[in-house]
Amino acid sequence: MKNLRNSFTKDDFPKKELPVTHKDEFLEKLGNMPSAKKYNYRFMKIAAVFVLLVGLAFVFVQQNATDEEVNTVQITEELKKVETEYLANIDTEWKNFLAVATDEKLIRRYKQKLTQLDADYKQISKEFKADKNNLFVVEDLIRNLQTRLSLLKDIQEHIKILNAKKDQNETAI
Amino acid sequence: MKQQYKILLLLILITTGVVSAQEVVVYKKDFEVNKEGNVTVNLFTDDVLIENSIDDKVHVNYSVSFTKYSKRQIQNYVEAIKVTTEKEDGNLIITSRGKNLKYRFFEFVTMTNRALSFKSKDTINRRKTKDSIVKEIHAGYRPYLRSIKTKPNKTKYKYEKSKRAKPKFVIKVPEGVILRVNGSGSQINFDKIENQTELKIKRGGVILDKITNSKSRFHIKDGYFYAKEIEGAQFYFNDVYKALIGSIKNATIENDFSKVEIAELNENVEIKDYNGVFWFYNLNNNSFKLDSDYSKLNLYGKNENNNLINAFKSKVKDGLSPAANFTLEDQNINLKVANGLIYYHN
Repeated sequence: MKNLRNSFTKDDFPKKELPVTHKDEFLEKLGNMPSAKKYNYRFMKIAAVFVLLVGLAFVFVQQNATDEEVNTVQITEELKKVETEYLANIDTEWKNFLAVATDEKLIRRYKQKLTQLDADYKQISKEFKADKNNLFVVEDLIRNLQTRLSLLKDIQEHIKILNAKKDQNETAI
Repeated sequence: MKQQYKILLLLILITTGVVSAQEVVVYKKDFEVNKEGNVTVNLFTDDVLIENSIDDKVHVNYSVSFTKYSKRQIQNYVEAIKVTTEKEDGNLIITSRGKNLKYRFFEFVTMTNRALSFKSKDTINRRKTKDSIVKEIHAGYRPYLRSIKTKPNKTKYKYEKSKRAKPKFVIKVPEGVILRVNGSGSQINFDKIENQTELKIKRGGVILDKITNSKSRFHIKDGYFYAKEIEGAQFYFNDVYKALIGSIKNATIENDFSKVEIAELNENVEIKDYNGVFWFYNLNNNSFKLDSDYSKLNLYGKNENNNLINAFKSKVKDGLSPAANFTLEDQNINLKVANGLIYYHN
């Protein structure tokens, strides 16, 4: 069998010397070649920031949704102010009413009514303490105070018209 | 769609986890009851619709439709609703505590100035018909929040304004059973109920289509009352700040410190009033009994030839002082007005 090692001589592969500038030329050519397409990390950064922001916003909203929805300290303070002013006005109007009313039954009915409305107010106040986030309860509190004040104002106006009629009749006689 | 956008959309959906619209059944059960038994409904801060059952059973259905609520928010909401039922000797007791509606995206600015600038609005110059009253009833109850000045909380508003939780609580009752309804801070709606009904409610309101059972009794305190048609029953109003009645006949009203508007006052109506305000828009009536003290009565159609208007005018003339103190006993008209004020309108 023929030995393949003896089939080729060194002369079959003449050794060629590389030029001295070969390395520089190679690097130059390499530098001039169009660069390979880079992966678009910019989009991914924007997407990541966006997702992060959406996530944070959601957590923030979720926390707020479970917390008190309205500023309960502010409501309590405002309500206290309103209550004080209303009660002062109701007291004044009650004294004015007593000054003009002569019908004992009417005075008794109004006293009962105001006592009952005051008891209702205390009950609603308890509900408010338990659930300050419920504006229907706040509404009930305000309406209770308004009812008391309007009842006293309206009845005085009523009495005034009745008395004016009496005065007319007396003048006619 | 590019792969990146798909991933991004998926991430957003996973992150928010918001359910766009979903109906959740809170309670659903049917009960057999005695034909002449009692069904008692106890309501605390809840709204209910009571209507006729098509079979012999009581059907209790409570569901809530959510829009843009997260799973956790839905869970919190549903857990706050408590419905219990108890059946005993063929009678049924249904108790419900609802979740109050909250004005979630509003905050207080102040209420001092507006709340205190309150002025009584007793005068209604516009004459109302039964149709216009019905229209007003359909518009629904408007909360009284005018006295409370609020502003949208911008940080929450955009998110919250699109959210909605719509509860639907329906109780269907068969004919013949006696209904006993007790409510606190609740709205009770009746849809053509002919059952004998005993209702007591404090704070809240009653809205009814038509009531015909003369044995029914409605006690309403510190609330509102809307009825399209009354053909029977007894009503007890105490501090009712708005009562709207389309038409009424064969009924009695005992009224204390309440404001009542009646579009059509028909036959066999008896009213006993103390310090209330009434608006009678159409007095199509030849039989009327009124016993009043310190009442304010507004009568409409002053130029019309009407028995009742004429009866009032025979005692208190239009254009003079509205003060009225008289008793009038006719065949079917019985009027007792003490310390009253009578105003005539066109």
